[in-house]
Amino acid sequence: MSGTRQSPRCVPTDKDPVVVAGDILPELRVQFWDFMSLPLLREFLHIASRGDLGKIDSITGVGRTDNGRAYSFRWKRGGHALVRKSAPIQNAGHARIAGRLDFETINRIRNFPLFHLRPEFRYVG
Amino acid sequence: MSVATQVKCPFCYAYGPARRGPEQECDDCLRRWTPVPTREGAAFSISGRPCRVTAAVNNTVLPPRHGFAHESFRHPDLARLRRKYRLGRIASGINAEFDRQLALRDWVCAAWAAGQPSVPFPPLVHEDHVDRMLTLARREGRAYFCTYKAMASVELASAFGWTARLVNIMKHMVHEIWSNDYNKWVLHDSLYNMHYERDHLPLSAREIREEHHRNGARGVRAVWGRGRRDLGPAHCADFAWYVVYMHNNFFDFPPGDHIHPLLMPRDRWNRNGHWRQGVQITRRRGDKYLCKGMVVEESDPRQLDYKINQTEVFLLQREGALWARFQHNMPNYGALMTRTDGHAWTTHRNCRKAEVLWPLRAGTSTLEARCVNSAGVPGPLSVIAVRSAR
Ligand SMILES: [Zn+2]
Repeated sequence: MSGTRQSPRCVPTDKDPVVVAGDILPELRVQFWDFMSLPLLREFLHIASRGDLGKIDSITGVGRTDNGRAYSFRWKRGGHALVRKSAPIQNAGHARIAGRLDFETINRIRNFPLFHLRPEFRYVG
Repeated sequence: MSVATQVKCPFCYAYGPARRGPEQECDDCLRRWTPVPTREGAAFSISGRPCRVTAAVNNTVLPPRHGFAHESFRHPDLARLRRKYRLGRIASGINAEFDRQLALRDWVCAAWAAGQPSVPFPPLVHEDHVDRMLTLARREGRAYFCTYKAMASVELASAFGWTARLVNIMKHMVHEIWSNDYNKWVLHDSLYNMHYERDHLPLSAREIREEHHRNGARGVRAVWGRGRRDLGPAHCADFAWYVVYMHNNFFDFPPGDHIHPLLMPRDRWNRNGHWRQGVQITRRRGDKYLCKGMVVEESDPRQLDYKINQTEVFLLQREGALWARFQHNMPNYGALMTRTDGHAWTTHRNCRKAEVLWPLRAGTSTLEARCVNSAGVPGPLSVIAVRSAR
């Protein structure tokens, strides 16, 4: 089992908002733990576009892979996902997700393996 | 004792040596019977009529070496959970059992986030219970990490009439649910809303571990959500070692109670190895779990992934007719169901006493048997088809 203690490599920049049942947020910022994976990011965007996570209208963000290369990404409802190289970033990166985000949608997003990647554990809970 | 070369008594289920000639006698209950083979391709005759088994899925009951303490599906807390959280809605309109199990996993994933504000580590499972977790998550936005997710998933599986077991892999807690659709244990991760597949077949913890040791889990895919979305090659290094908590009666005995045993694989992959964590690694001393004193080490894959919900069919000849008897190993047993040639199902409350006369017709006859648990969930079907000449 793994706790929620953070890796020293991760530089936390945000405090997660406390979300309770009944809340609906227009926007949510989710941080990557240490890094992201491009195949997982593409699957995340694909799954989001199919509505499996909830009512999401757009996703934008920036993150770096475990080899340090940085990528920006964006997707908007009705359009195609775009992932491309970006200028280097210091932190693990984040995704900004907009839509009609209810409690369950936010939990599904936060628990998605993409946001739980660390070198020694890969996924971490 | 190797049961492979032995004959099982269809009355008391004791094993004994096979006797010469058609008639067998049980050394335990002293009953005599004339067995009829149930394996595909076997030939036999009934009153001089030649017959052949043309198809057989006979879910045999193997004697388990390790006991498991099961939750009663009639536990009052389960009924309360079902009402309070309207659990019936989670899988309503979904037919296939495995898809229903995925719907529950998705619901647990969406029930709270594993993040901040979190409960302390190590977990205080004795103070937490699925109802309390769901309430605090909804009201206060409380987060719970993997151990709690897995524990809640096991408790909620019981509310659906499914048997689940808690599995601790290295650095992560997950769970398995017995799948009657696949007739096997399937590992689920309700934090990440994921399971693992090879060639589209969902895998158990033991199978993932074996894939990891054999070939670095080359063919194993991570699969997400209700729609079984392929996330790509899975990272399976944490499956190198695991334990199964051998009970799921968590409403009365929370996991980690030092009463119930833990089942751990010990085989050629870890014969002289140590599972160490935290300070144990730096001190190069100690063994995770073994120090608790209730670990059972096992190398036999059939015992690690012991099958449940099986219904075994015994065929026997008596006075020129073909009869069937049955054995099951279904936790929370409700009833045995049998039918011949697609007619209406017959319900037998006492599986051990059930005897079915199987009148063979000219051509192919079929006998089907399965058990249903006290929550109405059917186990895998055993089917035997026999072709007979007039
Ligand atoms: Zn006997």
